Amino acid sequence: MSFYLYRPHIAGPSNNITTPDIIIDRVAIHTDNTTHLVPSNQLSSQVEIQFTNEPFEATPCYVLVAAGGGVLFSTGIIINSNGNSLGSAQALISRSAWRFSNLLKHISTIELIHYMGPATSPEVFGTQPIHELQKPANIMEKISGNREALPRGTIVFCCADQLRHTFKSPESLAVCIEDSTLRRNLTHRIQILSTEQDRWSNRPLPRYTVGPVGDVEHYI
Amino acid sequence: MKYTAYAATMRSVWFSEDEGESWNRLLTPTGGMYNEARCWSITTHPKRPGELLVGTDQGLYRWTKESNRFNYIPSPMDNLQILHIEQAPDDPNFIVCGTRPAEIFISEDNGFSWTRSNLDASTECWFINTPRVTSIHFDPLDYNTIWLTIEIDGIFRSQDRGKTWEVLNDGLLDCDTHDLVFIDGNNGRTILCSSEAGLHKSFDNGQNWDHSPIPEAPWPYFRGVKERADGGGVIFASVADRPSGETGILLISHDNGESWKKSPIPEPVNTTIWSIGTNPADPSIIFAATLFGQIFRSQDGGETWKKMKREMGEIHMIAWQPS
Repeated sequence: MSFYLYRPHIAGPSNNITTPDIIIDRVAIHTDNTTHLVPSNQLSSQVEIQFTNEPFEATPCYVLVAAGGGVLFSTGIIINSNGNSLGSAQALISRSAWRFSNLLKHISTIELIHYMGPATSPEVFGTQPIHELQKPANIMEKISGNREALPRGTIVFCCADQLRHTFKSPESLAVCIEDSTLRRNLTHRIQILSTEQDRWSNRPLPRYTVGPVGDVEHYI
Repeated sequence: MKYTAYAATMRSVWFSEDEGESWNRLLTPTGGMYNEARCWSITTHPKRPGELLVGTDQGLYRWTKESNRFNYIPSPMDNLQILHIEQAPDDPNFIVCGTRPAEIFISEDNGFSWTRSNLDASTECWFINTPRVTSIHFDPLDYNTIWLTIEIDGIFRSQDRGKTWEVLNDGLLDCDTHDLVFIDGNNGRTILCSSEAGLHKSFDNGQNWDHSPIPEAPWPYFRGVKERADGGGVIFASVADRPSGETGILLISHDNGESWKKSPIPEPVNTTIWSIGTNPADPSIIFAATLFGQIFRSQDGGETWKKMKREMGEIHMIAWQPS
């Protein structure tokens, strides 16, 4: 598929929700002061992913999404095998989002928080104020020439490179953006499962059922 | 004439082989599509008797009389709602699909390959969140020209078979547009456009639109407009209290939309008449279906109607073709 259908739940400042379905076909990752375009088929909003049983890098991000009603601001995470190019990274974005326009006046108070561990007892792994990262307006201007808009179909992950970490085994991770001014937060939690893990200790062959038998009529 | 009627519902496509009296779905084990599939659109083509294209919530399908099953057509639309399908009148291999979100996908080779058109429709709408295609029309005078209505974004036209598009919304009271009818006569062209704010007319090929008050319509919400398949100036328009409201009526015009009267559809009509199915093979046979599953049939070109006993859950499109 040459595009991804992003289905955000956009919360307004008074907690109203809008839910447009948005086609994304241009995915950019901004990291180490460079913007890379990556395939859209590696973009998703999954909360569980499988990964080979080898070390992987996780980089928390804030994310900007082009939308007709104004650019969306969300959170995400880039998962990549150590040493692999970004072209093979998985770009995961939360389905929850805010409007960037509602954050303009207090963007300097918003923080990106990286958690690890289970949802019941997460540990803060690191914190980064958004204004210490590449500024959203600068990213948008670089891509579209407009400091408050992105071209249709575009998504940009802005990596908090300082929070990048290499994990040696499957992990539960979460990325949160915290808006202390409007007293709200937005979290995307990822459960990374090893391809070596198997919930069946003894995986059975798939079963088959024939449905009604004998004189019972088949009504479906 | 022996014919088959089709109803696209939220529980697959239903078939009637007895003029709408009884309806059945394909057998679950071998039908090719699960029986609760949400089916939004169906289309038939005179040059492809015994074939039906179906737009669903899980992709595009082709039913043929020979196979009597839905065969999946790979396309980029699997994750979208395929709300409308049209095939070029002169070439059934040229397929245009309209989706939600409002996008147009075109195949020139009978569905083997697809191009996503550069349709710059709105990506977001406050009122319905995600705009969607509500109708697709090949211009009856020029098959290279394709017209669209988009809810809620207005009227779009391509004069190069979907390569480029222009927006033609001047004069519309409301961009919540639903359907179009083209009337080409000795006095030139009139286009009718149904919208949530009533009926509009254009006398300059879509450059400008005038609201056309219809005193016989008790509500402003116009959904479908359809010309009887003989092109003899008989037009139908469905009007309702609101899209999924309590009731609706069907208006009929015998003079190309100049004057209207209420069509004698048996009451009560349980909500908006969402779809009107005609076929040039016999202009006298017309089906109409409400969004909440009532089916009406006319065998005299829309002058009288019978409500069919069978009701469905939710019908999004109704059609028929000769068996």
